[in-house]
Amino acid sequence: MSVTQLVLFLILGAGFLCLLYFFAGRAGARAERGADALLEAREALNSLQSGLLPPDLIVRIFARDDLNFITSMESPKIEGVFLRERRRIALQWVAQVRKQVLNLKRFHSGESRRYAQLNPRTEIALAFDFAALLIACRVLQIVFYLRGPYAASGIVNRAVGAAGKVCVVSERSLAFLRSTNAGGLGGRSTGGSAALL
Amino acid sequence: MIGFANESRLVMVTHAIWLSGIVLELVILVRCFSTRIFRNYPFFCVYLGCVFAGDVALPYLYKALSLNAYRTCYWAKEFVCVIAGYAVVMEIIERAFERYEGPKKLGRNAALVVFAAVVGGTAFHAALDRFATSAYRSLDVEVGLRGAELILLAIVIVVIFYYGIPVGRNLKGITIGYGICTAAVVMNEAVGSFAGRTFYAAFASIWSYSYLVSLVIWVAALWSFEPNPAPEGWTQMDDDYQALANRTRLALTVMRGHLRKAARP
Repeated sequence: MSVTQLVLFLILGAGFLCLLYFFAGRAGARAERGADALLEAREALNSLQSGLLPPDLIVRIFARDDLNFITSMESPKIEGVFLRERRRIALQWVAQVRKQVLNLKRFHSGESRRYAQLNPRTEIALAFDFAALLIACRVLQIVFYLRGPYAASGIVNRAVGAAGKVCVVSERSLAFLRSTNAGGLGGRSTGGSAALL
Repeated sequence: MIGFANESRLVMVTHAIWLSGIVLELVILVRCFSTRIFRNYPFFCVYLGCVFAGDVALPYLYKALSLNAYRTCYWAKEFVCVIAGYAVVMEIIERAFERYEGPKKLGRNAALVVFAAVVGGTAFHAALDRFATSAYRSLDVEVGLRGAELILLAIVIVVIFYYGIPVGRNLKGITIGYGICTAAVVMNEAVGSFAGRTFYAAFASIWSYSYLVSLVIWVAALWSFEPNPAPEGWTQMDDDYQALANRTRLALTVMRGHLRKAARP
C-alpha cells in the first residue's frame, strides 16, 4: 500500500467517524408532512419571492446613493452609525434568505422521497444547486461581517438571481401539488412568481 | 523486569477485552433471539454470530493447528465476515428506506456501483501485485472491501440526512456500531498493510477498544425491539415523478444558462 492510499483510507475513516458523530446527535425523526407542511412550504416560497427578493428592496439595502449622501455630510460618527446599521440589515436579510432556502430544501426532499421513480441525476443536481446557494449565503454573511454591506454587490446580485431560480424550480415542483391539494393551497398561490426567471 | 511487567499487563488487558467482547456478543445474540430483532435484522444476527464463532474458535485453532492452517482459517473467517458485513449494509438500506421506494433505489444503486468499482479495482490491483506475500495481499483486499463498505454506509447516512428519513433506535444503533467498527478496521488495517507488523500490533489495540465501544452501543440499542417510525397518512406516489422531473430538468437547464451568464457578465 502506498502513502497516498494510506492517507486516503485514514481520511476516509476519520471523515466517516465525523459523519457518524452528526448521525448519532441527529434529532428525532422528522414528522411526516401533511397539508400544514404544504402551506408552510408555500408560505416560504411566497416569502422568498415577494418578501425578500423584490429588486426594489435589494436596491434599497445596498444603494450607494445613501452612502454617498452620508459621506457628503463629512461626519465620521454618522457614517460609522450608518454603516453599522446597514451591515446589520444586510446580515439579517441574508440570514432570512438562508432560512427560507433551507425551508424549501426541506420541503423538496420531504416531498420527493414519496416518489418511487426518483431520478438520481436530477436529485443530485438539485442538491448541488441548493448547496451552492447556501454556501453563497454563508460567503455573503462573512463578507458583510468583515467588509461591510457595500463590499459584495456583485455577489448579492448573483445570490438573488440564484435564489430566484431555485424559487422557479420549487414553484414548478409545487405545481403538481396544487392540482392534488387545490383546496388547501389555492388561496395562497402566487401566480406571477415565475416572472423572476 | 519492567518490560516483562508491561508485557504481562498488556496480555491481561487483551484477554480482558477478548473475554468481555465474547460476553457482550453473547448478550446481544440472546437479546436478539429473545425479542423480534432477529426477525427484523437477520443478517446482522448472522454477522454477529460469525464474529462470535470466530472469536471463540480461533484461539483454540491457533493452539491446535499449524501456522499455515491457522492462517487459512483466519482469512476464511475474515472473508465470511466481510460478506456478512455487506449483507448487514444491504439490510440497513432495506430497513431504513422500507417505506421510501425512491430513496431505497437510489441507495441500492449507489451501493451496487460503489461495490462493483471497489471490488473490481481491488481484484485488479491484487492480480497485478504478484510479489506481495499472501497475508499482506489478503490484508490489502480486506482494506479495499471494508473501505467500500464505509463508502456505502456514508452514502446511506447522507441519503437519510437529505431526505429526513426517520430511523428507529435499533437501526440507528446497528448503523453507528457497525460504522465505528468498520472505520476502525479500515484505519487499522491500512496502517498494518503500510507499516508492517510492529505498527499493526499497536493499532490492533485501538481496534479492540473501538470494537468494544461498538458492542456496548449494540447492547444498549438492541436491548428491546423498536420498529422504525411509521409515517402517518403516507401515500407512495408512483406515476407523477417523471412529470415533476421533466419540469425540474427544464428549469435546471434555464438555471444553468443564467448561472453561466452570472459567472461571465
